[in-house]
Amino acid sequence: MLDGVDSLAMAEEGASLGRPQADPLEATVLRIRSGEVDAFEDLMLATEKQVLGVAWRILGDQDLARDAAQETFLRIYRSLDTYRLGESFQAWMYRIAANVCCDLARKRGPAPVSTDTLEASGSEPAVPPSAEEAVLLRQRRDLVHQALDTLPPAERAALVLRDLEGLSTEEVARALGVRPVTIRSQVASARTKVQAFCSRLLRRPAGGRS
Amino acid sequence: MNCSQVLSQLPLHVESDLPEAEGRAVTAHLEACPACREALKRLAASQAWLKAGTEPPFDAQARAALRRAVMAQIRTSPRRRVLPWRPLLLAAASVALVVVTATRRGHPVPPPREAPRPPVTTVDVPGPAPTEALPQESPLRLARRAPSPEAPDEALTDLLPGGPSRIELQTDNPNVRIIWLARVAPDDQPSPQEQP
Repeated sequence: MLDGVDSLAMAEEGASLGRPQADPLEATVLRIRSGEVDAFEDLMLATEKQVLGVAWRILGDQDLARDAAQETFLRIYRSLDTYRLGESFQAWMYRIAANVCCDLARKRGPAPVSTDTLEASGSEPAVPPSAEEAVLLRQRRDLVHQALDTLPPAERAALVLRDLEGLSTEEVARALGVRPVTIRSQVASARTKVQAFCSRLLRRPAGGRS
Repeated sequence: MNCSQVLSQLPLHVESDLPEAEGRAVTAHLEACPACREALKRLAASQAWLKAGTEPPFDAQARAALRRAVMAQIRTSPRRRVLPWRPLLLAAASVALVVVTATRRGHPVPPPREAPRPPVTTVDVPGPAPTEALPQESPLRLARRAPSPEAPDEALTDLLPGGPSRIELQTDNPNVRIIWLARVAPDDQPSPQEQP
């Protein structure tokens, strides 16, 4: 689910109490629109985990995900006037992020096997796991990315936004510019393929390659 | 619902994406069918595996670096403001363009205006022999009709030897124009330089 999205929880709480549901990021958006450039840093602090996360999950590559996140935030900044107050800022932001990631994925071509998890980088979780846990985590990430790489780009984007980012079907449909029924079909197909990948993995003899 | 129908719905049922009535029907089938329950368990396990294995590998340091890079760029390139009335202005301009285009297509472009004519001081009512009534210094002007879009070659046939000629006498009253149709012999045809 979404990380660090206390603001979303607040918005849902407001809706359940019958108050008009305003996006909690609107105040920050208004500050930026009025010319307060530094307020954009606050907006990034509130949303960077989601943007980096969705980029990494769709692209499966750490460097590309950083590039995609940077480009997403620059586009958000430049087109902030086109965001309509009252709409979900998250959904608008995911729409931009998904477009940027799809553009980058097209330029890159077929995804190579991810080597992110094999990199010794300083970007692991703040609390370092034990050596054995780290190996297991890397292996699991690698396998999940292999599973995601088996999906067509549209199915992958739909699955990432729906199941890993926690957007509703309607929000995913708006973000990707298709009808909700298409999203349902794409996520159903993607879930079936991921499950088939897991089944093949379990049938594979230890140390063997599929 | 039979097993085949339920199995096709499980990928949506596993994340509660089915409409309420269909979800209830699937649940009812699952209570009585161990094979479909097992299939649902496998799907749920793969979903859990997927979610657990996609925790992004970006720590606070990586996120701070991203913020610095973005803020450095936006401080050097100020945001372009989109004025609230700009979309309306663009829409109005588009409509105006469409209207002008449609009007021009519906009505042919008028022929270019003739150069200002010299003033005509007197009007002679022509006699029965028009070709003889046109001396070189006649105050009456020999006018050629501008080619009409419907018959663009008519003006050319006017001057062809043996073809019908059209002679227009413009009076000083702009509403009065005398038109003669006559066949001109080749010898009488004036050269283009002689035409006014």
